[in-house]
Amino acid sequence: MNIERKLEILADAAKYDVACTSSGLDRGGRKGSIGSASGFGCCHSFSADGRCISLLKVLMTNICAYDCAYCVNRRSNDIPRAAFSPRELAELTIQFYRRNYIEGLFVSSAVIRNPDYTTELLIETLQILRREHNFRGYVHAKAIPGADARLLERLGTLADRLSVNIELPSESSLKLLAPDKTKEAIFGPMGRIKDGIEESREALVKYGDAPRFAQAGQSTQMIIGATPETDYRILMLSEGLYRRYSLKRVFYSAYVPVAENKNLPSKDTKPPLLREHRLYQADWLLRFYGFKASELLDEKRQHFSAYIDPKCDWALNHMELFPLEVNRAPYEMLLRVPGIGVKGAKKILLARKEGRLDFGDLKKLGVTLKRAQYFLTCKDRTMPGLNTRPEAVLRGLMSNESIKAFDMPPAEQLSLFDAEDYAKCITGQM
Amino acid sequence: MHNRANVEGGGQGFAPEIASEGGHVVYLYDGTFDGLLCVAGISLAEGKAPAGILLADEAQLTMYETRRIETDAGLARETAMEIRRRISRDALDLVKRAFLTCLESRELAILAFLRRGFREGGSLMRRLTAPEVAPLLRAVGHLTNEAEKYRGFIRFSDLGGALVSVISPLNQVLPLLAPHFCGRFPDETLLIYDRTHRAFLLCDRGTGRLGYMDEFEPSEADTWEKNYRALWQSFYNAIAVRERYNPRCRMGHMPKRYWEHMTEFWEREAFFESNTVAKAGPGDIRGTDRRIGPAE
Repeated sequence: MNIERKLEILADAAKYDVACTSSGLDRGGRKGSIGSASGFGCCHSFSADGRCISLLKVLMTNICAYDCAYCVNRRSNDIPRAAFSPRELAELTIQFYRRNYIEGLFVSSAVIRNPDYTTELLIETLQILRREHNFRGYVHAKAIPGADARLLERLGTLADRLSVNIELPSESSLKLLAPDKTKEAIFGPMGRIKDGIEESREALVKYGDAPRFAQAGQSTQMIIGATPETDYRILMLSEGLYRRYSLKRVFYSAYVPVAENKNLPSKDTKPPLLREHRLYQADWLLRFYGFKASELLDEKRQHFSAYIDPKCDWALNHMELFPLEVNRAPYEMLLRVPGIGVKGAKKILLARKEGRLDFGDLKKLGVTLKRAQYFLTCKDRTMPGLNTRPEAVLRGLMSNESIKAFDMPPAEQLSLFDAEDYAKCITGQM
Repeated sequence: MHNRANVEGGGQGFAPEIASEGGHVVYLYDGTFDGLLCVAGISLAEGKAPAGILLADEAQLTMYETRRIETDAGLARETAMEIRRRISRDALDLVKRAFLTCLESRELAILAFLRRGFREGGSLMRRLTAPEVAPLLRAVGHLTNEAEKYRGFIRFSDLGGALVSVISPLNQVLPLLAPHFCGRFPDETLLIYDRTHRAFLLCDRGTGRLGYMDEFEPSEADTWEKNYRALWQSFYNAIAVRERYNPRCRMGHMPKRYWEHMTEFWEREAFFESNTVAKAGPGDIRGTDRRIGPAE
């Protein structure tokens, strides 16, 4: 099989993996080597589905010993199979990197023979990259659940980021759909990676020099919509993961049906993209805006609105806290205003030292007034001509995409939402 | 830096709101940043706002009196020191960057910023919404953003061992890209040609040089290079999830104006079986590692 065909098969097999980011690590170039890494990461292209391409995202092989129902590479699936040799994959990475196609390598693998053997192949690939090519670019490797702890340790000293896929948002779903993977096989390595990262940091402080272990941290991903967990359960799980395992990121992947199975949504189900989008928005609120999962959803309301984003949703349900006076409100509260982001809030703090701000100033500072206008006053006045009729407010808070969906609702995606309830909630509180 | 090309509205024309309140002099300068610093030094010392600042070698008919300012390295240095002393170091950096942008009449905008800054001092940098500050910040934001995009979107071709790329940016991004690319590839020779401004960046084993060159056309790629292009195109096409097809989202992140220079959008050439990537290195990329087993 030629290298082009292999690449096609093994990129295709990796395409549902979502964590194509290259962030969390600053490392300059050095004479005699190739490559560097920068903390914010870098997108080198965007695929036709609008997702960022940062890394060469491929599987080492899609030949798999397991038979997980939701997975396209399951043993029982009749698809073309291929495998890179470590040297092939290292060479391909370097040649793509030189041409600035990519920021580095994101390598995962089906389980060929057994987890240890698979991990050894990954280690060999990364060794060629790091030792022969002196590659200083970004490497993200998947830890293979069930592999020996010592192999995981070696993988971690070669890779910048490690991840273990949590796969499904609950243990019962995992048992049902991935009988070869256990909860322990997932959380075990996650815990070891966390410890490895902490130990290497401590050693670095103590001795000034120590082999770095997964210095860009660890992440995980889970599949959304293949199993019945609610948004609330998923967000609580993420919050726990961030806290307990100090994860850098949790990624969410809308389930794209790849198999007919009585335990899975039927094959003509559309991937729940809007749901995935809302979870990312909420995840952002957890990480950068000081929200707790329990503020956004609770036992009584377990799903996000299809129409408005989680931040608008929260604000509408807490109108007693608004409107805020822009020239006095503390930073933490500015962050909670729909239409004000982290950058916007910081600029407001800086700019209001030099004079009191009005709505025109806010616009110049990059605040989205379309949303923020309902929650702010400037110099103790609301925005001139502010229309607080419920339909107007709802429209103001919806994204353009949502407005389109509102006019022509695709039945499935909007079924969780009852527009009248929202209108009521706004009328009652404004 | 010399600015020879006419970028979208850059470098010429009048900003009506400034021209109407300003004086009746049009300064002519050589298009370098030092040249502009000299214009600023003289204009601020005399306390008169000009009606325009134009490039000397683009002779234009104007109803205003023109005055040619010769570039003097000493005066430029003094003016730069004055900016740092009377406003701040950040202000000098802002002005340097603003000079690289495609902001219309950027010279007048920079001068207006300096005039107010000399009056008010460092606090001006915090007046993000002031009419002398906001346009510069916006333009520099645009420049920074574009440079950030190009950091990822630049595509090199290996032409006889040198890495070569052509781009068409709206702003002069090369000075911002130089540290990144020279640092990342310290053992390579690479050339990025900016077709809009007819400028180039040459990084030769870690050392960067910026300059101007009227024309540049990369040479024909060999089959080895073409194979890598084909491999990248295959990867690009395979990595998209069909069920999530979203061309508008892609265009939002990667506007069409970048596509012209990106390998993934070039017409696909055949993958040359007999001339595979083996040339690349000591390893045999064609061979299948036996241990992996019956992949084929």
